[in-house]
Amino acid sequence: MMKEMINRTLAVHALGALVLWYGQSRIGKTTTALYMAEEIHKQFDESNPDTFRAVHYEVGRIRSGSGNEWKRAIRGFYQATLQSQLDEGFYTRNAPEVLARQVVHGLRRRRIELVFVDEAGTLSLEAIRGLCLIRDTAANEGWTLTIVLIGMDDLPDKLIKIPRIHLRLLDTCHFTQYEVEDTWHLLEKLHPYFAKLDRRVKAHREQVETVHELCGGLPGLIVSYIHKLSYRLRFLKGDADVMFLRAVHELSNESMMNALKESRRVYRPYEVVSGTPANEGGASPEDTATHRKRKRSRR
Amino acid sequence: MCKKILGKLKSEHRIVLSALEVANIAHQRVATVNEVGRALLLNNRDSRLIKKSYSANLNKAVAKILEQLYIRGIIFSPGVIGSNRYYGSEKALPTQTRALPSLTTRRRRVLQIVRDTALALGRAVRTSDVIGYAASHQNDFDISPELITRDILNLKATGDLLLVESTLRRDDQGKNYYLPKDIDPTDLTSGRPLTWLEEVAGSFKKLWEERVHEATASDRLPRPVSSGELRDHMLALPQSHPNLHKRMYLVNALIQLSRTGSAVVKKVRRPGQRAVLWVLSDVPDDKIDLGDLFISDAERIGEAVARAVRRLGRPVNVKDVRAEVKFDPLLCPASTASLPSVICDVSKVQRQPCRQGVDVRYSRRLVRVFRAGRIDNDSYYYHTQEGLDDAKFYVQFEHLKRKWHACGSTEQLNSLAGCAYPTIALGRALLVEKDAKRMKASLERLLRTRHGTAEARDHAESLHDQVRSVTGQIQIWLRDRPHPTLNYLCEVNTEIPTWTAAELLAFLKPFYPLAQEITDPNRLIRLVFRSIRRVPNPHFRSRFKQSPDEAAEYFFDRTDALFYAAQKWGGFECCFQSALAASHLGLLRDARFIFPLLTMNQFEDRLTGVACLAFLQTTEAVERLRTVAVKDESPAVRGAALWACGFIEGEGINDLLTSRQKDDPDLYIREFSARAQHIKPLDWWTLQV
Repeated sequence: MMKEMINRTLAVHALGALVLWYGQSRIGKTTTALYMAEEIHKQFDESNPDTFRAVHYEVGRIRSGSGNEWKRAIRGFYQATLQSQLDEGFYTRNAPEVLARQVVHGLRRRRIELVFVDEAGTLSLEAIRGLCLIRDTAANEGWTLTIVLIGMDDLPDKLIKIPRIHLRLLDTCHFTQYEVEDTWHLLEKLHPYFAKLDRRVKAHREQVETVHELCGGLPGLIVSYIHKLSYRLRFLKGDADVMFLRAVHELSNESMMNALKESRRVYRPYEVVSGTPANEGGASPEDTATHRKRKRSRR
Repeated sequence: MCKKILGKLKSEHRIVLSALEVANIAHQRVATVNEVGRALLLNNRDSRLIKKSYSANLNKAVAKILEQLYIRGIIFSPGVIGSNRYYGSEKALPTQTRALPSLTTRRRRVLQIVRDTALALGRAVRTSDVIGYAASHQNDFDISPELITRDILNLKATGDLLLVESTLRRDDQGKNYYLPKDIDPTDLTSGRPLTWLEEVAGSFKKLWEERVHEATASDRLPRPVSSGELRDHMLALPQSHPNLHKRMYLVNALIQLSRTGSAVVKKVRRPGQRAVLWVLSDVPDDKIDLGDLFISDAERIGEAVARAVRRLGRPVNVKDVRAEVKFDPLLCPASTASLPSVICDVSKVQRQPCRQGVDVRYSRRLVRVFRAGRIDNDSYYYHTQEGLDDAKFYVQFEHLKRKWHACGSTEQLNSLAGCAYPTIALGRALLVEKDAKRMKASLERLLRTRHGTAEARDHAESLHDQVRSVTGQIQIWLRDRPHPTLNYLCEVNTEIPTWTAAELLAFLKPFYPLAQEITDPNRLIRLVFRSIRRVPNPHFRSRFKQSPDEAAEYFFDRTDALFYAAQKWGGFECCFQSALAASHLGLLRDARFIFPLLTMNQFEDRLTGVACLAFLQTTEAVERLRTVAVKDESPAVRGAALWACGFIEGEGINDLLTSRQKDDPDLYIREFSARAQHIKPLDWWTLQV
């Protein structure tokens, strides 16, 4: 999936595109972007004009209506991509289009053609317009610039509200959960225990399916689960089985429940891990109602 | 008298006879010898002839001749009055005017003058009035002032003149006013005040009445009057006395009024204050209000400073004093000068005011405000001599503290970890070390003075600890630095390339519309204050020195000024390189720490090096940039270096541009070189690579 997304993005790069990468958390968007940036950097050659560089950065939140959202987004883009501070006087004095031209000039001098804007969902619509202005300015100035907006599931809803941006999205890459087979491939590369498993053995297949089920096919969760499993395997005498794999998961899950109980908070887990009851071990509906009442009385 | 007799007269006699005729015609009566002598003097030739002919003086000769003429019957004499014989010529006088003139004694005539003067002035008169009147009517009264004075005193003794009244005087010997006894004193009463002292006494009484009235209305005791208030009151009158133009005259008058036998006013002295107040002599001390009374601006400002010091517990600046004045409007200075100038004036121990074009230098006896020192551009003041050393300690400590914060050593130290380039990090670290060592020494010197309050010393100690900690940390960093091979750069040059205000003004004028209207470079400081970093001038001596190198307390950091101008008026390349350089350079201004960047592998690192050197602009930097513009393998870096050379040298790089236009392998660089050869030096600011 990772390679597919990279290829799809590079396919439209020559057009100076806006590309959207979206998908739920821990699905591997950021990892893919970092990997892609690193690979592009490896390929970069100063004397070869056909090579270019890529930059990945994560934006902070820009609330809607907070003022100067265009300029703030452009300043963030400048500082992250060009690795230098934009002078405060220059920022205050100039209009967004001038800032955008300054950014494009800097990108050209540093030969940056691909920028990954991570957590773009936290930007307001106006801030996203500011980023779009940079791309348009680059296109007008004859510089190929692809901006990849990376965000979670709400990002497409946000972008569709702005036809100017929505229609400029040359590709939309949806990161989906891994299938069992993909999970198996990943597990093989992550841990030697899984590399030894045989696909023809039912018990082994059940183990991989269990991991897939516990992590919901999310590579980010699979990686962290493997780290926990690796720690537990050190104390295991004998072979691991499905029960053991579940126990490793439950151990940390239970600790989380107890911690939340202690802090009298309502546990509302992210509903991606199938088989994890949302209310199990958490606060009862009555408790939740009492909590809401308390909140209201506080207001 | 026949012509025959006249023809036999001597020429001298004929001359005297003519003079007699002149005198008779002039006075329309018979004339005395003196009058004939005066008539003779009208003709110089005749008078010279008489003087030449006779050895006796003129009047005696004239008297003799007149006597001979009278004996011979050529002239006549109606008789003698006193010691004067009167003569007349029949030819000059008609028959009815040949008698003796009516006789009036001098004393009678003086009495007449007194009467005339009194009627003319409409009041009783002093001797000086009479003398003045006689002088203005000299034709009628030819009596000398001494005789008039003597006659007036005689007339007073005989009862012909009455002493109507006398004026106030310190020794009770005031001036006397006279009237002839036949004039009713009630008809010609002299209007008061007659003298300067009387005018002052009258005004004082009126003002005191007003004070009492006001005090009664507001249910409190009246406050004493200062000489300034009395002067203002008298100046407000329709006809102000000319003596009021000099303050000292009024003060002298009040002193005299307080020392006469029947004193009108008395002094009120307040502890700790020099200014004297005045009240009527019959007002007891317990019936006056002395609380919160400020006579002069010096008192007001002294009190304001004292209150501010007590409230804040430290020396105070103009801002603090202004806040204190806002709390209590009584402390507001009465003069039109600004508060800072009043405070500055009050704090001067030696004063040199200009009186009538002459500088008068004197020491202030009562110093209410002491100058404790200056922090940045704010002067700090203290109110007593006792705590002045502590106050100076506080000011010096605050000055050092601000200097320490301005160095930004703590931030510089923290940013070393994020510094992408080891040489720049090393330079900045050495800079921090130098600043910290210098600050540590200054603080130790200050703490050794043993002055300062406990609180101020605590703060100084804690700052000293902080500086020591920074020194320790930076030394550890330098010992364990990531690139110990850079040993050849063991010392940083802290000398900063600077511009005076005039140089900066000349630099900014082509760009800055506001600067184009400025002729005085000092006005530029206000425009760019806080925008361009200023560094203390090590050669500063006094701001009144002629040489700007000694007169300027601060210089402008040239690199910072270039950054400022680049961000404000530069084109995209200029902005890009200035932002890049500003981000990495920090406060480092030693180009030696930048040169290693030009040989690094990554083109971005070399680009950063070029940008930094473009704004440091040393001679060696230009040479290195020229080399980079020719030899660097990256076209982007070569382009940036070409732009940097042009930015620094202007038209001086045309040779380099010509060679690059021919030899550079990159098309863009060749085009850029061709384009850049025909532009003016200022256009480099907006030129795009």
